[in-house]
Amino acid sequence: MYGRSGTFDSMMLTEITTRSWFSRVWCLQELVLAQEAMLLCGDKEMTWGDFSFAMGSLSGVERKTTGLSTVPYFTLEMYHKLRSPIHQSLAMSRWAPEKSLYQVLIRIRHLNSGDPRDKLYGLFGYLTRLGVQGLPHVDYNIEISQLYTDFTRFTILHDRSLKILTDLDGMENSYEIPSWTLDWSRDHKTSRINWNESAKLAASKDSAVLYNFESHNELHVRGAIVGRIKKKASSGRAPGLGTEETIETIVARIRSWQTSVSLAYEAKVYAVTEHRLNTLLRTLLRSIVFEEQLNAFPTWINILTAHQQRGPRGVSYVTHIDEAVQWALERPSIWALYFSGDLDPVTTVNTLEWRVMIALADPRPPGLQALHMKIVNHTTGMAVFLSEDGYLGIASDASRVGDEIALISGLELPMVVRRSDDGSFRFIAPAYVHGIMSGERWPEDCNLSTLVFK
Amino acid sequence: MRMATSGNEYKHKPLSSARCIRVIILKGTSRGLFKRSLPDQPLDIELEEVSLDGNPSYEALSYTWDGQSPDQPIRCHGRTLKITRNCEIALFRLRNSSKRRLWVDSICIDQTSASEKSVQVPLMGDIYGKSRKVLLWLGNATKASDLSFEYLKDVHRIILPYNLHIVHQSLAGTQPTFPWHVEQELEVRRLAFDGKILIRFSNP
Repeated sequence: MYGRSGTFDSMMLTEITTRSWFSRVWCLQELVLAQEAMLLCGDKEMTWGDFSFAMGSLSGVERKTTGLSTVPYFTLEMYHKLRSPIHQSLAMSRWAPEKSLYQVLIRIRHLNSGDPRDKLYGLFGYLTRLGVQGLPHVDYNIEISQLYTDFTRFTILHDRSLKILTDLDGMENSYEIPSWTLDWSRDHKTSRINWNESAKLAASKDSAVLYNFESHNELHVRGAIVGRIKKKASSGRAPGLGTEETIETIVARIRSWQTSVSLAYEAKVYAVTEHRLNTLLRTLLRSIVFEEQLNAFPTWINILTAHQQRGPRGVSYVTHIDEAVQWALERPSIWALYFSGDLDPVTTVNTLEWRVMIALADPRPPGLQALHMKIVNHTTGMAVFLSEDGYLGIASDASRVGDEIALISGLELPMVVRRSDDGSFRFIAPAYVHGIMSGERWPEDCNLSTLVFK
Repeated sequence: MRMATSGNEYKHKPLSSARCIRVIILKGTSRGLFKRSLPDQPLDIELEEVSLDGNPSYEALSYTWDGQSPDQPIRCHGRTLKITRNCEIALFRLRNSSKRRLWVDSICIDQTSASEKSVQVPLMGDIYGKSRKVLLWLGNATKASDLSFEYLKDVHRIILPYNLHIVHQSLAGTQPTFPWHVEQELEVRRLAFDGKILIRFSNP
């Protein structure tokens, strides 16, 4: 009834939600402020409410029946979350009003603007409506690096929180800014440690938020160095590489996960070997895992390490991979969903890592595909590491062997930091370190020192 | 014969207070819906200063510049004003038989004045918040977008009676669910839309 030609798929809805309108910070503000909004596309039109309600319902039904969502509803959720606190009629919706600037800012970080200053200025109307006081004056003559630094400081002072630091990713910045300042012009380039606050993390217990801006470029905090990175697996996504999966990123991802498995076996803090693999899963995902996905993890590990395993067990999993690849090759739509781009079919099919990746994404074993997609999403640009005292952790791939792990008063995530010659530090990125996330390594007050970040 | 444009260019009159904005009066066209964008009747506008505190009536346009520079001439108070191609397409789409009051950033703010920009940008909250309606212009149609809108309207028709039900569930913080038969109907729609699954159904 919709397609006599039979060429429909949900990618058609994506054609709408990937239009540039959805990527602009000005457009976001214009919609979230609106009392009434109407979408216009060619001669077609639909109210925003009807449009997103239809998309949300489709997405919900799809998720329920398939466990995945190809309907691009996630693009629209952000608008609701930002609209609800300023519109009375939406006050009953299930999303809590935004309490902090941080929560607004991380949601919009992927958007862009023609003038890099507008990435922030394009939100000022909305922030004013939220009741944010004392915003910096709009000034189109200001240096971008100064605006970005001022605004990071403003966010910390406004929220009375250091949480914005957890959005650092250690990746290259376009401007000369201090390491505690966010490059607002670009998106966050790795998976986040605790996206959507799904886990209760408190590496520094409930310590006080303490900070001091000594000069324009320095942030002073209280904290302690609790570890050092001894070994790390590379994430396989070089800084600056696009979001597209290529054969190189697939190879690197698989090797990185394989290295992570061996690091997990070396993680001697966790007494029992069996538990070390669960520790790896917790480190990879940092969030609640459904039982079916948890049960699928041994299969995921066995497929991943099939070629390293000796004896009949290894052989049987290699056979399993061959079979899964054959099955997928007969159904290009299955794997085309995950690996886009112009992959050379011959090289691709003969690449060991690609074959492993296909078998990991096999939709047939219960829970496997959902688990795999979750791992993919949670490890983009991230590398698992082993600390000198045997903890397993994960952080941005920009972290290096020799970088230190700092716990900072008032910040729930440990930070990977790098010491400079003058004794000050640079922030790299936040980390998840399994076994210290509930304050197990948080020292007594007398053991805290002032750490200077530039 | 080409007219020299330099002397005939529209220049924005300075605004009289920091709470004032300009509203576009887009003149109507006698042409029907499908001929409104024919170039033989160029866009013709006037700008009117209004105070945001005076309860002004207008619809605000939301569209993307896409890095385009203003090179499309339109008429403004009988003079020439240049706007971007995207903006021009949107205005053609919005032109009715009678005049329409609009707010469009690139036209209503004097883009040549950094100081006016610095004053008007902080007003955006009020400009969009007080508008009668915000018009989100996504661009020209494609086959995919046309079909998607038809499809979403159909889906919306099915779920409309359950709107209240959803709000109720939202309060409890749960995932919205529909009665079984509605879910079935939605699922059929979803499958019908997904060509891949459709193919699998026809070739089991």
